[in-house]
Amino acid sequence: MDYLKGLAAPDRCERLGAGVALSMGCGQIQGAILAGALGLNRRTYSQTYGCQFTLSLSIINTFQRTVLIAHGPVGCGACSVANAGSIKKFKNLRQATNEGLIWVSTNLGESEVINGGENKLRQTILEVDKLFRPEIIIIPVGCVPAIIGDDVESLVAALANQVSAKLVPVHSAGFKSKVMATAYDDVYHGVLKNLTGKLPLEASEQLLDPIEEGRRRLALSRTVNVLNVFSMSYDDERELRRLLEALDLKARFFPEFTDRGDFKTVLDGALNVSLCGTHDDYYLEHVKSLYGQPFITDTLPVGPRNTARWLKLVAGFFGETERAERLIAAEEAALNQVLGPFRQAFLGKKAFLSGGEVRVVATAELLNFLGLTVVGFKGHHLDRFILPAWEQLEVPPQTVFHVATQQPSEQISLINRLKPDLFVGHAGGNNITARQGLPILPLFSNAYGYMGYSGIFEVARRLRRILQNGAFNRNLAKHRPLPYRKAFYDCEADAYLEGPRPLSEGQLTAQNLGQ
Amino acid sequence: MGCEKVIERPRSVCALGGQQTVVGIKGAAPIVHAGPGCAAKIGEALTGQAGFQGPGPLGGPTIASTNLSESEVVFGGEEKLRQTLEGALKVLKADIFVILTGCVPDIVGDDSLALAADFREAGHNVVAVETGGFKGNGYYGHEEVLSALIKQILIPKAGRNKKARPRNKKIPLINVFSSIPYQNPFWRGDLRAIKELGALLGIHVNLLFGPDSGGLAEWLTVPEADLNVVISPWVGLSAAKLLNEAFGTPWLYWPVPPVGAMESSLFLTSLGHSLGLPQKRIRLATNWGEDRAHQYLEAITEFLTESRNGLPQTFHVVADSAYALGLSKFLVNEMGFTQGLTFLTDDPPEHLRAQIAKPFGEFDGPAISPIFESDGGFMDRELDLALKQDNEAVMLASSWEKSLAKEHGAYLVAVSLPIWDRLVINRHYLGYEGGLNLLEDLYQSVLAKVH
Repeated sequence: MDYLKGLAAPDRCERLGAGVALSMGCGQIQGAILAGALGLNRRTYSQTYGCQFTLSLSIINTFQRTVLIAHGPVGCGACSVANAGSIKKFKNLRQATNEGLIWVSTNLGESEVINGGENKLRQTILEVDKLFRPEIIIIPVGCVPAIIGDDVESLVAALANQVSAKLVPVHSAGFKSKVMATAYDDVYHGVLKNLTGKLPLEASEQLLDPIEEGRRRLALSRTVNVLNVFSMSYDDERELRRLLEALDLKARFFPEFTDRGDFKTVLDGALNVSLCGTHDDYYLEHVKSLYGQPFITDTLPVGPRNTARWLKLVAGFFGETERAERLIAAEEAALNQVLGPFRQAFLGKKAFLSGGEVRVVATAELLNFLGLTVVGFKGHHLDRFILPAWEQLEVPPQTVFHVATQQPSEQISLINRLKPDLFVGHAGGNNITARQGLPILPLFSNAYGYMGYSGIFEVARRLRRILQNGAFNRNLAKHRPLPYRKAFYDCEADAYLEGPRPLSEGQLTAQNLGQ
Repeated sequence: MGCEKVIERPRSVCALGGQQTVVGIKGAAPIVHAGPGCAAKIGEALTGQAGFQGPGPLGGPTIASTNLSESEVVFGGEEKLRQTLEGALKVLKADIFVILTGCVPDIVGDDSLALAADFREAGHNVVAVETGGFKGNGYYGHEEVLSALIKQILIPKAGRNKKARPRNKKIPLINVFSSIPYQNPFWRGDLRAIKELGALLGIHVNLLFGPDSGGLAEWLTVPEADLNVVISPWVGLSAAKLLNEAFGTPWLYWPVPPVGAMESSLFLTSLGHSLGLPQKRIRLATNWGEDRAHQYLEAITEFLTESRNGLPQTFHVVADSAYALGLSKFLVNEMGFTQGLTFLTDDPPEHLRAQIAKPFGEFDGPAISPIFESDGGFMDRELDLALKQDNEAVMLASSWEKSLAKEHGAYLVAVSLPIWDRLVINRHYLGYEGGLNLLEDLYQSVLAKVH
């Protein structure tokens, strides 16, 4: 893969043929992806969701010793300033001393729309470098500079020798992609071009004792870079570290909560392991082709089967499959012992999941394991990265898989038709289904564990508490009905998807059978 | 307005902040004509990061949006807007739809106003406002929404509101333009407090926004009011002027929002006189309010005079000009505090600044000059210096100042945007009780630190 010669990362609609406006049965998913039939990505009625700019902040905000310059009007990214508070807390978990997020907006106005925003950005970069002396100045570029044609790349190149910080532009204009997850590629594009690179050999290293050097290389040969995501917690990192250490592997987490130097040192690790293909493929593929670093991107270690598969793949790379199998057996036995009393509370409960494609499928496997029945999904988008997690899951082929980024009206229709007992959802849509009276389990949290074996226990513990008394949401549904017309409730969730649907079940079956 | 300088730690959003003004009207649905993330960003910035106010009945993820992509940037987005609006009319149960534009259509030149006019022709309540983010801040966006509602709905419909019940002319009716929905995290409680002040005088109050207002039906009675009351140093003045030109309604300009007993009584007296109410009725109202507030103030005298907690004397303010004026006047004139640094963050138009700053020079304590500033970096450095000299001061500021408070061991009450370490439900600082609420919050921050 080499997209780095381009100004920005390509839109995922083009690069991956990702779909954002679809509805089908789970039995059709594999066929539709393999056939590249993920629809037109258009709907006749749409509601707001996050754009690339917003989502790019989920990585950028976590960087250490970094100043963020949002290049756009002052509203661009305003949704994420609270991260200054929460991110500081999460940063402190990893490194005791750090500044809170330093957030600057170029606050573009009418005059820049006419005359261009480059001068204002130049002044901002120079000022920020002088004032804060950060290691990185990262510059997400929004819709306005993209339309008026600010040449941020040339500006950054011209300033590179005048500032001490490393400058990283991130081209994330919201209108450029319908697939919000293109944001991850935008950030990695900037990181790969400006922060990644082999470290020069230090003089001390060159003179290293051959025995010391041998030890260092041995340690590196057992070092795994785990690519973390914003939708995980420090507890998740600790759990994955625990499991990898049980295999005598050293885990290093990045790119979140990392700093400038880390992007260079990680290149010496033996293996890059992704937790979610949707998040990382752009980085992994590039680093492999540029620096020859191998990678594994498969499933997300949420749920016992996914965790086991993830662990075995990593262990397999180091020839430790058997050891991993023993570890998995011991962990599962311990888990089954403590889960007994919880399972009773979940028996016969039906769940609906909404959020990122890989996350919802992996979490469904976890819920199945706990004894719940999954009755439907709403994925933010659909592409091939769902497939590994998909293989761990058993659901009837007619189970609905609807594809929409947020779009609460479609979510409401699905919930009304499927009548689950529990909604497991991504941030932003949970308040809608709470008003339908359902108990809600957040799909992820920065503060709780979901991954590995301790994550399963943690989810079980919280889920039992959530299902114990759903009075608040039930009461809310009675008194605060949702603001939709009666005619709306007669429509199916796919009523507003434009153009031809993906292939019919018959067509797909024919394709799958190779007919 | 408001885009001349770079801003560190922003306190306001862009002009699309007007979206939340629409969400604040019962039964009003915003239709955002912009890129996919714009409505979501503004919604989150002004709810989740403004005291967790919640998305509102027709706000948050339910906001219809054209989610513009590259093809609309090249070919224009009017057709997409028409389609989204038609969808919203079919799907959403709303009395009025307000199109708000973002940067993209305002640059490529979509004519949303003409489209809204077409839909009004066809009998729908549809309004359009140009709120491209680069045009100004959230306060500007709020004013633009008020102006659009007046020009596109109230003026054309005036005298044709057949459903309106004839009102009892003996009970005066006022329209209030005060705390701004969502951009002031305490707007719901504040507006209710104003309604309760009006009830003390026996008058009807059109709040226009929030749980205690009446949605479009209430808005349609705006032209019938006896008086428009602007309880703010500048936001709402242009609406009052427009309404005066259109309907001849006089207005009362009350630049310092009334916080506490003293100011609430002054406000009620002035309001009563403007409406020609009998002196006795006004006095009964103010006597009742003051007596009640002073019973509570008397009760905290022991805490204030015998406490061994080293209570703060100086306060610094970082807030919009309305709140800075209201909270400061109460603390100085009624509670005997000393005013410290005062930053006004709402970036009001230049020609109004002298008028906004004037009351600060007339408080009972030493006269101060407020600083109009929206760059958090500058404020941070100034406050840092001030707290080095006196760390027993209290800051009435935002959650941005939390690290500063922690560093200096100073006290902080988050009263302005952004607020992410405090949940706001119906808390309010306006009215007789508002002053008491402020004291509770202020001394709570002291006690929480000491014990």
